[in-house]
Amino acid sequence: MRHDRRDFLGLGAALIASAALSPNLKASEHDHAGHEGKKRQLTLVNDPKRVLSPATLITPKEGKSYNPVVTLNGWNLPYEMKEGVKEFHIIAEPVVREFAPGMVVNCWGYNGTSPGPTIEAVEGDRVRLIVSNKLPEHTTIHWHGLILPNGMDGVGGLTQRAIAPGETYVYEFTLRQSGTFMYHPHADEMVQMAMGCMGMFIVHPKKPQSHKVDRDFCFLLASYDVAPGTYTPNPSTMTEFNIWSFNSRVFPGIDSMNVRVGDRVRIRVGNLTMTNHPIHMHGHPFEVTCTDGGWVPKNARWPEVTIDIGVGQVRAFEFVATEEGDWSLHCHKSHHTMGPMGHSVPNMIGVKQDDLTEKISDLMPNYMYMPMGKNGMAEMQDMAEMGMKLPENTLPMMTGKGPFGPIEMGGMFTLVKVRKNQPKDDYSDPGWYSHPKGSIARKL
Amino acid sequence: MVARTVSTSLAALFILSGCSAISQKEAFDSVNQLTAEQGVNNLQWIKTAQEAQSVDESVRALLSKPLTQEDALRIMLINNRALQQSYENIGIAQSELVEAGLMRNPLLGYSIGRSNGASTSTISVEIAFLDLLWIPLRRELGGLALEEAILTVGDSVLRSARDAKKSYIDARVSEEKVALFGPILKSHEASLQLAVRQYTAGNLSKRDMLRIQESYERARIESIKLSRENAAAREALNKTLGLYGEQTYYTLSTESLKRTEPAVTESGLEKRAIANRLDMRSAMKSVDYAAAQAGYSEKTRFVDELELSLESEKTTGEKRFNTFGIKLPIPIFDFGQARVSKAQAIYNQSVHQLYERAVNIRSEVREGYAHLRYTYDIAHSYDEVIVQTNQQILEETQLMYNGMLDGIYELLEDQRRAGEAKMEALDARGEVQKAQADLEYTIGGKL
Repeated sequence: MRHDRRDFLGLGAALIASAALSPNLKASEHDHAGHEGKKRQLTLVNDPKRVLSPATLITPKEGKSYNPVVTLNGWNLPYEMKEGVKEFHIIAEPVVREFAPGMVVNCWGYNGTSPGPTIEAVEGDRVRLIVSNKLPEHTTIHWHGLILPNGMDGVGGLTQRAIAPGETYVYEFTLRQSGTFMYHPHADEMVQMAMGCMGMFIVHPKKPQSHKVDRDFCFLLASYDVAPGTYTPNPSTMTEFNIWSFNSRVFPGIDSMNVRVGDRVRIRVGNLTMTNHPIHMHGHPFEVTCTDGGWVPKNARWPEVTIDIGVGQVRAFEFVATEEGDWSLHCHKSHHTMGPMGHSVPNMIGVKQDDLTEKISDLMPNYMYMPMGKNGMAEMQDMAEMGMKLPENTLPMMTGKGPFGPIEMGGMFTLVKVRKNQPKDDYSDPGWYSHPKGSIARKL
Repeated sequence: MVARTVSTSLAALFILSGCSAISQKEAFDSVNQLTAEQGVNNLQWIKTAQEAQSVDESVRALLSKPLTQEDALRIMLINNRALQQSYENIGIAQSELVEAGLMRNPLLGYSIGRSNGASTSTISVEIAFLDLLWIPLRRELGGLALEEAILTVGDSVLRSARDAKKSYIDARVSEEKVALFGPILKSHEASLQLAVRQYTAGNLSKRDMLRIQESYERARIESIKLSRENAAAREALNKTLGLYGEQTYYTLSTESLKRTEPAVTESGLEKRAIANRLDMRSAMKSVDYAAAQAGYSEKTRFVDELELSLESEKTTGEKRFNTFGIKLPIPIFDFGQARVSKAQAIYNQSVHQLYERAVNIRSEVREGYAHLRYTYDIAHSYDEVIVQTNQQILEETQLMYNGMLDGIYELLEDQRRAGEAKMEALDARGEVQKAQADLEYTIGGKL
């Protein structure tokens, strides 16, 4: 029995998703003069309108000894019990991921999504991971952080022969620890990770009571270089990425993490980008309780509001949601909370241009030219809202609308919504926070 | 017998001289007819002050509205003084033909001698009698020479028409390029203004600002060069059209230059060229002329002069004494073989010349066709792809600019590229028109 996101979302979801697609995407269906017959094909998708807008899927708790982790804008991989072994089927394949309405990316991933589904099991379980390769090149899977027999480590050439396209390999081992881990290729990993091959591997403690939380979220940090006007990440890029994502979704296309006042919340974050990310949360100090090396002893934890997650690291932090409101959670590198932007755009801060506007407009009579950057870049969002067109399949640099105006964010940004009346185990979005009277900053 | 010969010859002589050759007007009309077959008509030969004035008026009328290629051609045909000079060659050839039909004037001699009281007076008339035989031959030669002159003048009319068309295109293209470069220079200017402000605000290094300044100055030089080319092209046209003074203030039509696709193959064009080219036909006439000349030399090989004389002598107290005389050279030393072989050599030369010209013309046709075809393909690419693609690139850059993915300098640069593409496309279209004018001359007719 193979599991695939497409099995979960029926035609209904597909129709809803298609309504969310922007005209930018539709533009990709048009032939352009001089390029007859070179219609852009999105991998594996004949009709891009049917690309699903991935929302967070909640795994039912029933029949489980643990509280299932919630994969932000993702899903958890079901398993089958076979003679006491938890058997997971994993298919490495090209996929199309919608990063936010208006942008889809030709990725490589697992079981129809990138990142792949979260693998979830319990300490002491025997797991069998059956990996089929439908990628155009060989691959392996490395189980990042897990203690296992050397031959199960998934390093191509070193501990196994790489899995050729069309082949299926089986990994089988017993989970000897609990914690937060990742899985990713260890064969041409530069390309395959740049294309989105990655996923989380959560092992719950054997004792249900240990490390218990009410809400348990996880996501991966992934960066891509998708040049404006294109669909496929450039795998050769080393530093100049322009898409910074939580689980390959970018704000405002990211679900919020919705909790109830008093909940103990854990957020597990793995970093498979090429740089570190100081993840900062507003409103609540937290403690790092777990890394991909295991649980942090209680007496070794200290309070933080920002945790820097290095390349190839996992950090899980916990807090008790005491403060009601809509709290930002984001990477503190400000360029990582932006959509794509030109890295060499000239600096126009304080440069008067108004009087040149007419002159430049005259040179391009059919174009509504506007001078930009004199007073900063906030006008960018105004322009986006005015419907100024952008290149095909390209998100605005800053976007998102809040109850008080433009949020001017993008990339690695989402919200933790804390509500008194959020029902237990309900993960649905409660909407914008309604502030108690007199508790909002006021204009003098 | 001699007397009879003389009298009939004299009669023939007067008849011949009387029916003079075709007039200059008729000769010029045949030029007109020849060129009209190739689409160039209504030539005008300025021979009087009135005609000169009426030409001036026509020119003024044609210049009063934006000048089209057709009108430019019209002006050239009536107003170009080099062409008028060549028309005079018809006059010269025609006069030579008339001259060839005339007998040499008879020589009238009178002498008187006195001796011992007696005087002897002699009256004599000498006639270069053999002219009677040679005049038809000379007239034939003169006729051929006139026909050749007509064809040569016709060819130079067509050649001038081609050159006028090309000059016109050059003037049009260079003028429009000056106009198209305007926005490009303005765009450089905007870049520079922004750069100076960025530098002043502390946002741009001096070096980067200077680079932009340097680009602007280069663009300004380019603009000056274009104006210089335009001035030169315009003057070339003025010369061709024979214009000066206030006449030169005319404006050029702005109707866009057409780009008509040439036929898919060149087949038939070579034949047309051989049949229609006036210089080809004039070369054929040269062969005829050389042949006639050779025949003339052959006929006059031994005896080319024969003089008849009539002498009347009267001595005092004696009876008048009349003498008929004849003088002719005796071919002892010069059998005329040198003249004959020279004439044959000239004939052979002209045959080879004709052959060479035919080979060259055929090659020119093929080359001209290939040139037109490729030039057309290039212009087609510019019009249908390069210009549009650059426009699309500009539109994409505008989207990039909207998203702050590109800056103002890239936007202005791509706007300039789109403008430069238009200039190149215009150049290419001009090349097509010039190639067409060349080929039409080469094949001797419209394509």
